[in-house]
Formats: sequence, C-alpha cells, structure tokens
Amino acid sequence: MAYRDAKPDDASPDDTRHDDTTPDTTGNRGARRSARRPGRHAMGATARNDTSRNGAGKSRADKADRQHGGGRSAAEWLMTDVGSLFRSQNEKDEDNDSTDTGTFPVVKAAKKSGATATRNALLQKIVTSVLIILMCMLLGFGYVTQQRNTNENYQSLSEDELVRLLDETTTQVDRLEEQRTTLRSQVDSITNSTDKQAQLNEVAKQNATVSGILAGRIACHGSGVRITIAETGTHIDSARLFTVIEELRNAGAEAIAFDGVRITASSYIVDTDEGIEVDGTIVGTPYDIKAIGSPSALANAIQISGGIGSQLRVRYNANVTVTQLDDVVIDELADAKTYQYAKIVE
Amino acid sequence: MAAVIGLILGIVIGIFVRPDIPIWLQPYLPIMVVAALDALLGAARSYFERNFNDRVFVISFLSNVITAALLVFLGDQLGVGSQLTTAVIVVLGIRIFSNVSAIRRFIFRG
Repeated sequence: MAYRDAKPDDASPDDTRHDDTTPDTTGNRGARRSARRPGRHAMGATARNDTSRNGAGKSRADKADRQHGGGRSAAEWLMTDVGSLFRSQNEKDEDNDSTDTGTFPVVKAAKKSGATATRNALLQKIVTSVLIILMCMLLGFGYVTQQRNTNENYQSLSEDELVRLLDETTTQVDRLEEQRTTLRSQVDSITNSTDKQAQLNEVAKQNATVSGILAGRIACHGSGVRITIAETGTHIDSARLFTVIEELRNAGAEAIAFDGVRITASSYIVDTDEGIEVDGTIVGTPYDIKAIGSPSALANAIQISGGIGSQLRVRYNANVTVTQLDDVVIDELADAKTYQYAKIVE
Repeated sequence: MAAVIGLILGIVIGIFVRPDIPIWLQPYLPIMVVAALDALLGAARSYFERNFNDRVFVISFLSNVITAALLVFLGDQLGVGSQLTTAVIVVLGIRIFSNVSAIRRFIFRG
C-alpha cells in the first residue's frame, strides 16, 4: 500500500493497522480489510482509489457519523461507557473501512493458509500487548517511584535548593545564637543586679550601723577611756571642755559620752547661767567623759605634755583622771535629728 | 486494555518493590515519566486515529524518554538544567494537552 495518513504525532506515518496484520490486503473483498480510512483524515488516494471512490467512502463515513453521534446529547455521551465506545468505534471502523463499492472489480488476494494467518495475527497481537504492558508498566513504575521520591524531604531537592536550604538554616542558626547571646547577657545583668542589690543591702546595713554609732542612735561598747574632770574652785569654761572632746575626736574616738550626754557631729557646749549646757542638758562638775577608741591613743591625747589635760590641771587646778578600760559601755543615745534643709541626693 | 493493565501492574510493583533510585537518575526521572506519559497519550491518539503501531509506539516511547533525559542532562552540563527542565516540561505538557484534546474529539465527535 502506498497511501499515507498524515499523523502529526510521534506515531509516525505507518501503513500497518492496529488490528490487522495480514500484509497484503489490497484485493480482499471481505469485511476485514486494511484500506485507506475515509473521512477527514484521509490525505491521499492510491492509484486504485480514485476520486469517485474516495467520495463514496467519505459520504458513507459521514452518514455513519450522523447515525452514531448526531442525535445524542452531551449528557448521554458522558454516561457512555468507554468500553462500549471502543467497541462501537471498532464496528464503525470496519464499516468505514469497507471499500466494497461494487464499482471496481476486486481481485482476490492470494490467500495464505488460514491457520498461519490466524497464528501470525495472534502472535502479533500478543507481542503488541506485551510491549504495551511493558511500556505502561515502566511508566507506572517510574511514576510511583518518582512520587515516593518527591515525598521524601531532601533527596529530591536539587543542588541549588539544598544550598539555599543550607543557607537559610545557617542564617536561622546565627539568628538564634545571637538571640541566645542577648538573653544570656540579660540573665547575667539581672544576676549581677541581684548581687549588686544584695551588696548594696549589705553596705547599707553597714552604713546604717556606722552612721548609727556616729549619730548616736545606737548603744555601743568597746575598749576606751574614762576621763573624770573635777573642778576645784576655778570654773572651767565650755571652750576647754570642748577642746577635750575635740582632742578625743582627733585621737580617733568612735563614740563619746559627755556626762551622760551622747556627743554627735552636731553637739554643742555652751556656758549658761545655770552652768555648762551640752545639747540642751545642764551638766556640772565633776564631768564624766567616756570615749570608745584606742585606749592608749585616747589617753595620750589628753595626757600629752602641754596638752589639754595639763592645761586643765595647771590653769584651772582641776583634777583630771584618765583611766584606760577594756570595756567602756556607752548606752546614752542621742535623739534622731530631723533635717530641715538637707535632702538626700538621689 | 493492555495499557491499563500495564499501568496498574507498574504502579503495584512500584508500591511493593519500593525501589531505591540511584542518585544520578533522580533529576531525570520526573522528566522521563512525563515524556513516557506523552508517548502513551500519543499512542492512544494514534489508536483512535487507527494508525497505531506497536513498533512506532515502543520507539517513540523510548526516544521520548531518552531525548527528554538527554536534554535535561545537557542542560545540567551547561548550567541551565532547571530552565531546560522547565522547557521540556512545558513542551511535553503542550503535547499532552493536544493529544488529550485529539482523543477527546474522537470520543465525543464534537
């Protein structure tokens, strides 16, 4: 056969029919014939298939089309079983393939032995089916394999994607590490501040003790001296007695009590008509002074030659006794002062 | 019918065998599958057009698959693998669509 069907697809033009394998079909009058297909897919005609026959075949095909498809609605088509469609297509094909026009004499083909032809046809059919099955198996197998492969997370990713993923992961790790550093420094600072708070509390407590002693709000005891100054006739003015207190302070006295009055930073000694007044309290001879500090230093401060002790003895004829003691108790307390002008600096 | 049987067989085998595809084949397998699908649909179309041929089918199937894989391989060598993959997929997709529409015309005669 020399006819050609135009086939735009990969199945290249071929003159072998899918359902017929007999090689020579030109002269066969029977129903199963391989001949040019009528209808719109026919592109050419053989020498024998002249235009009139072509036209006849075409008209028959159109008629068959109309019979088959003309009167059916789309819904009916959708309901149609595909298998039955295939069958009807086969029937139609056979009908359309018939070149039995009666116009031309048809030469009978030299008939092969029927058994061989049938066997060949069967064999060919089996081979075809096996090949199709094989190919479709390959396709299905590849499809499932690829699908499963796609399901796995990283194996199916390309190099670029993996690199990008790695980059993203690295960036994220960096970010997280940065965050961790920030949080850690926060923890550190909070811990430090708690420590600092504790230290501050400690310092504040110490300060409170120290300033309590200094301000005279806390009773205290320790080694020190006890000084007794007794007047004998001559009045000792307040400046002399204040000098005694100053000398004791210079010598490092940490707490001083003057005749039952706790001496603080703001203590004063003045002469009044009633006698010596210390912080609003009238005191009289003998003056009993207690001081806590280094006993020898305090004693030296008073007894030093030419010092306040000898002045008192010489110029005022006072009896001055200084006793160094291991334990001097100062339980006199000064009143807490309310400050009117001084404010704490924040 | 044989095609359907083959497809089902292949899918079942693929499910139960769980093959480990070699790493060098991994970029090409999806392309090969799409190419094979195109070949299969082309065969279905030629069946409806009644010039189906088993040899042509086998050759077109294999050549489709191999050509597609080779194209992608070439693209990988030239550094345009992903672009060429896209191109092949687009072309095969167009062919699949045209094949399917041809088959549909045969079924619905519309």
